[in-house]
Amino acid sequence: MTGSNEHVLEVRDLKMHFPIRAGLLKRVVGQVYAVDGVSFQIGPGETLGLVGESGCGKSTIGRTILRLYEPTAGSMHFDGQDITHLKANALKSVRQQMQMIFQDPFASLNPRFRVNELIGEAYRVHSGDANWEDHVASLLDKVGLQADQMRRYAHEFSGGQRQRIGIARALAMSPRLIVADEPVSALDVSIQAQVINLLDSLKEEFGFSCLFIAHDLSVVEHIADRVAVMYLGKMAELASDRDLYQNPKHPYTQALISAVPKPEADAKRRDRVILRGDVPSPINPPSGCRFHTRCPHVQDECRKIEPTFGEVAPGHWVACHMHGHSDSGDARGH
Amino acid sequence: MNNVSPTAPIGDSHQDHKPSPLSVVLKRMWQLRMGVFGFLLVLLLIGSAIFAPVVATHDPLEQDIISRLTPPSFLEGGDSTYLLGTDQLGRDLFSRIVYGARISLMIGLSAVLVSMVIGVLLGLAAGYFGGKVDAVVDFLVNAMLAFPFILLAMTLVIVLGASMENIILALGLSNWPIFARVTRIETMKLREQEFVLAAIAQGLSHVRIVLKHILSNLAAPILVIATVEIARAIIRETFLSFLGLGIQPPTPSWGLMLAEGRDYMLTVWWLSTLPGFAIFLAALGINLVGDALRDLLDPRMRKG
Repeated sequence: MTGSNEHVLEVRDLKMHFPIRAGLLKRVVGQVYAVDGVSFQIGPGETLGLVGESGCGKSTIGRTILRLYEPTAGSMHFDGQDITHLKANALKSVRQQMQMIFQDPFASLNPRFRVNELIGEAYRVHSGDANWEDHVASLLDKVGLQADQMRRYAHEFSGGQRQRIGIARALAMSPRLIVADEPVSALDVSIQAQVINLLDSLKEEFGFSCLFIAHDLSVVEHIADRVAVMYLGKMAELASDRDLYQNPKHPYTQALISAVPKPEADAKRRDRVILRGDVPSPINPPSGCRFHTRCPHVQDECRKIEPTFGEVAPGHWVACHMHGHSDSGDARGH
Repeated sequence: MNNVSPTAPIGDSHQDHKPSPLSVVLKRMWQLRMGVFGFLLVLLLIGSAIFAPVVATHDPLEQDIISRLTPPSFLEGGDSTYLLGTDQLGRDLFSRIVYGARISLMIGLSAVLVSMVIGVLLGLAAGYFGGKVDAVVDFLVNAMLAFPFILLAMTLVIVLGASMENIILALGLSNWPIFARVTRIETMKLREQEFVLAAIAQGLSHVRIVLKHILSNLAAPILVIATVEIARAIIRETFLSFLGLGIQPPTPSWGLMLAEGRDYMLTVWWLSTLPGFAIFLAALGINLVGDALRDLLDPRMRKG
């Protein structure tokens, strides 16, 4: 059961359910199955893109890994250490090695703090370094801001600059893993590319692993080594960057990819897969395959039997009845 | 409302030149005229409290029965030696109001400080940790609110004895729930903010997060309540004085003077009106300063 050291992060069958309370006595009347049995690994220096519609549980995964939530079930290993139920003190030292970049560059920076405090506080507290401002200055330089801006407040910066401050804050502790929770979706399109390129080059320089969460496949395409697609709290497909884009197996992935606009003027009209209907509620997920209510290839068994998440080709994992996998008992051809 | 003048930005103009926090505050004060007015008012009251022996024209306890109930000097029948007239025992009203500022401001500020410290700490704990801590604090707050303030303060003064310290304690202990409630709600909102999550994810301690990251964002609402409550505490001392449980005569406090003038309300109106006016000025001044401070303490409003 020990996580092997070749992975920086190993998540196994993670479940995060939120109780719904109602009434005078605050009784639990139901559960939100935000994350319902998800497994993946991230290797050293690797970037895993995590994609899905809003409400599919991708941000919950990010926050659960950082133990901002207490996981319902499953396990998480960080550098071989089980962090699923780590206690406060041990957690503190692990947290220095895992950092987060948040979606909203406005809400994620304390409006009362100056930039030097925003970026350097944790470093100062944990290291006790008297010259911590030099560290902040070098970080500012690394993310493309000027060291003399460190006495300013966050509100004096633009959205893109604020996100750079957020990135510098995440880098301050030289973490092994960074969870980037939709770091560019709140930014203008013109700024998005800059920030992604910045993250990409920082990754080379600092060598951290990254869980890059996005709701848009095109954002992830550039930065991720492998991409995982989530649907309603479950993994739909997980494959290397190239495999996923060129040979998507899951109908949901196919629909997402067909929705990415292509810039070529002479691009042939592709068969767009239009998904109908809305994402079902995670409070009461559909039986069988969770995607069956919207799947264009739906069959009887999809409504009854939940597909297992198995490897259909080396490194290519899919949860779909159309793709039987060799290693699972109930493999089905199509 | 007060941050009107879009004058030259101050505070962050050049990286090398960093003005001291005091000079920044003073500069901005000038830009907030109402704040300046309130500031001067409070300065005047505090000044007269500190320099009461110099400012006062008479001994506040000295009785001159012959010239009792003399009207203020600006009214018909007034005597120029008694600027604001005399009370029922012939004591100089102006001097009593000046000396009363000492007592009343001391009571107002100290009592609010006591309630603020208790209320804010409990509110922070309840809002941040939630669960059982929250349930306990919530229960205490509701129990306090269900209890009539005056009954509680009376009981405390009777049990502890009617000294200045005990009056402050009684007023402070009976008025912390308002701080606790506001702090609790604001903390609960801030608790879910991403910058607090970021601080948790960075492995910072709860104490640091609560006292630094969250409290720094609570300065504005707490200050606003505090300024209102200072004025209310001064008036509440009146209630205690009225019942004979407040400041004991002959020591002058505004509340006591207000209560003593009650018997003469219809004929010798200035006896209660003038101390009341002093309370009004103090409340106004403190509120205006509170408003200005709230704006000043918000970095987002520092630039015009």
